Amino acid sequence: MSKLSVGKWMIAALALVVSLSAFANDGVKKLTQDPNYWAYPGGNYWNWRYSELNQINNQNAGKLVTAWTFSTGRLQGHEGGPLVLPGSATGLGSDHLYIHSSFPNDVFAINLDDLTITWAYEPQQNEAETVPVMCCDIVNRGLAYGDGKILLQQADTLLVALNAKDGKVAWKAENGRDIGYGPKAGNTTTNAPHVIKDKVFTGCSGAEFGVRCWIAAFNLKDGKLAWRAFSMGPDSDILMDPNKTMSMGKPVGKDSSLKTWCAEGDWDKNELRANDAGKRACSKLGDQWKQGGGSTWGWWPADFEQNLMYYGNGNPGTWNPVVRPGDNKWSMTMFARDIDTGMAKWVYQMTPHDEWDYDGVNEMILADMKVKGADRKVVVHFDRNGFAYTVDRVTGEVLVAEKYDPAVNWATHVDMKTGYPQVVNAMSTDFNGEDVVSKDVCPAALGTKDEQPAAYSPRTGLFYVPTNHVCMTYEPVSYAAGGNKYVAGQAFVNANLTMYPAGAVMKDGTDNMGAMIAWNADTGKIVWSIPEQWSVWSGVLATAGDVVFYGTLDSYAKAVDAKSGKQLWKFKSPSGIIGNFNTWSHKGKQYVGVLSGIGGWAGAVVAIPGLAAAPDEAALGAVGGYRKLLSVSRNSGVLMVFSLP
Amino acid sequence: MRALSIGCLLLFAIGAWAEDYPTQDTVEMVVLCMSDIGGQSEENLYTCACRHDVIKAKMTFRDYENASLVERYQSMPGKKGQLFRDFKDGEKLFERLKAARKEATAQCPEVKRIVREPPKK
Repeated sequence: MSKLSVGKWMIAALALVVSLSAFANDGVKKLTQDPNYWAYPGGNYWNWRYSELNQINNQNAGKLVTAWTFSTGRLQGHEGGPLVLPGSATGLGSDHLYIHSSFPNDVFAINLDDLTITWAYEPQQNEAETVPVMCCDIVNRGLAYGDGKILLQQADTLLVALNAKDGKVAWKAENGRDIGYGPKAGNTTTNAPHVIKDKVFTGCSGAEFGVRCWIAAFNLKDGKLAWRAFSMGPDSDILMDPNKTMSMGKPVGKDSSLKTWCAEGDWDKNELRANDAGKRACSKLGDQWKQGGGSTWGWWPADFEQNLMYYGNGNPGTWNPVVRPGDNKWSMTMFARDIDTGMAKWVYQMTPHDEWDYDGVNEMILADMKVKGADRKVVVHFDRNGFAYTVDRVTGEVLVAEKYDPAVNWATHVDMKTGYPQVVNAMSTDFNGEDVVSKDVCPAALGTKDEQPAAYSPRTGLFYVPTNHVCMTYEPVSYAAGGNKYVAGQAFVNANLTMYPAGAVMKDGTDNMGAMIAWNADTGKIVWSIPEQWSVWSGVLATAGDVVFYGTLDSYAKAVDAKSGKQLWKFKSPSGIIGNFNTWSHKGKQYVGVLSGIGGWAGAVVAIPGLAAAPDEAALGAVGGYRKLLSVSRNSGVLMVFSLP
Repeated sequence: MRALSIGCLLLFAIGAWAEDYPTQDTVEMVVLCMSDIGGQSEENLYTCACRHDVIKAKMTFRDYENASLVERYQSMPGKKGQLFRDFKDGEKLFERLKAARKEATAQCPEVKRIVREPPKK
């Protein structure tokens, strides 16, 4: 035996050892490669939301019909989508579909053989304590699977692992109350947990309540906290190495976050902007970072080769930017973290010193693609701020940053050397000042896109992005004019907003508030765009049948051709669609499923405290017209499942 | 020539009809209306079919659809609901829908059923 072949044997043996010391999610990884199932929220670990299934294709999608439906029995907004797992993964005899509901986050295991409910889990949560502090509806973005367990991140911040086989609780972990947050302090959770390697990743909401948010990793095995990394604060809290964590090609340095939260009044507004040539540093530091926000409720991919996971975080605490001068790092930031240790490898702040609520939480999508002629490993991100970023996911170098809605006007462009967006003074709510209404700012606070995840098709190389086409007025409210100071558990917003179609600002005679677009992440250009009357708020699915699925607020499920954007099929579902389209196959037949349900029904006025603020007339009208429906067909979220006849 | 114009008219009519209220929505409106005025019965069907026709004559399906969206979703919390609360054109549509409903109620009263009791022996 030659030396060389010994070496080969050694490598093979090593590979064997590595694969034997299997990470808990090796099973998940394999499942994500089997198009018959849907085992990770984003479809695969790169968050493509793409399926190799092609039974439903651009030739026959027009024939799609309803195959079955399932009512969750719960009201209000239904986001996220179903998981589909084989019996071999769950210990059950057959393929099962797992679906969740809005608050109180019921979980159902549905046997796909006979469409019966194998088990249901109904968490007991304190509604009076939790629901009033959920800023933006009582949504939950779904479940995760790993190691025979179904993971549920409850609204009240409790993370629960259920046995996939019988729904019994395997373990529970506090993700907020353990450090003094939780609903009493305005801290809730809406994100889907993500199983990566031997850990469960979960996030934090409450930036509208002054919560200093984080991302946390729990051991999948026993629910013990592995690490927690805050969005802002001291380096040790952020899990940041001043010398090794990179930003725009340079180490971030010591106290990179603390240095960017200046004392109130530290910035003279006249030296603030002027296209960012103005002042950025603090002469005196403040402690607003303690209520810093930076929430985490998006969709997170992993690159096992780099051993990194990626996510973005939300707005800095209080929407009045005047009281928190400075860049407010690291809110509104794209993070790459080591999966095992949580240490930040690189960061990129997309919207320094946010003045518009342009959260950076949206999904991250990984791809290996040509950018400007060179092969790159990238992460692609469609931010609320209206820019689509193509970033080298190994180094954090920003390669492309272009507007994906022509209406975007708060910044002219992103300076590719500094990474700073070049803010237009007229759109700067800080420059215009407290208690002044900044008009015709595009996009509106809900962003050119919110969390609803985009899809990527390797067949076309295009990204399919659900977008908003909405502008706003924004008025930061001073303390003198009635803005409230931070009190734990109370809303900490301090801004007034109105939103309207972008056509009113662009003066092009249009009044659509959304568009479904196909995006080229290399050139930074829109390939095709389908105007939609309302914001497109559903997660998108692309398939090897060259079909792209998306849903609309006016209840339609739609299928379009991936190459041309031509509409192939539409179907009116019971309610607006804000869920994600997922696909699977069972006994040789391809199915596409999506949750339909956005609430807003008359009954909701009773169910949701704080909704009394809704216009009386609307509520009364709804009672008149829809009272009966509440007790008949449309009283809850419905999982719609479609197939060919 | 005359035949051609009639053909064109017919095509136009069919086109308009195809764009009109889909069966799903028509049935839903009528069933909901019957449910509101006392349940499914033949006479309630007359009332509700009539009311449906009045609304249909006053609003295109797209306008009706958007108006009822505004009605339903204005109470949605957060930014999604705000879209509907702030949308002025939507508010106008909703006003039109309310007017159309009022008109429909006026034009289509509830039909009374008279049942003749069998003579007592």
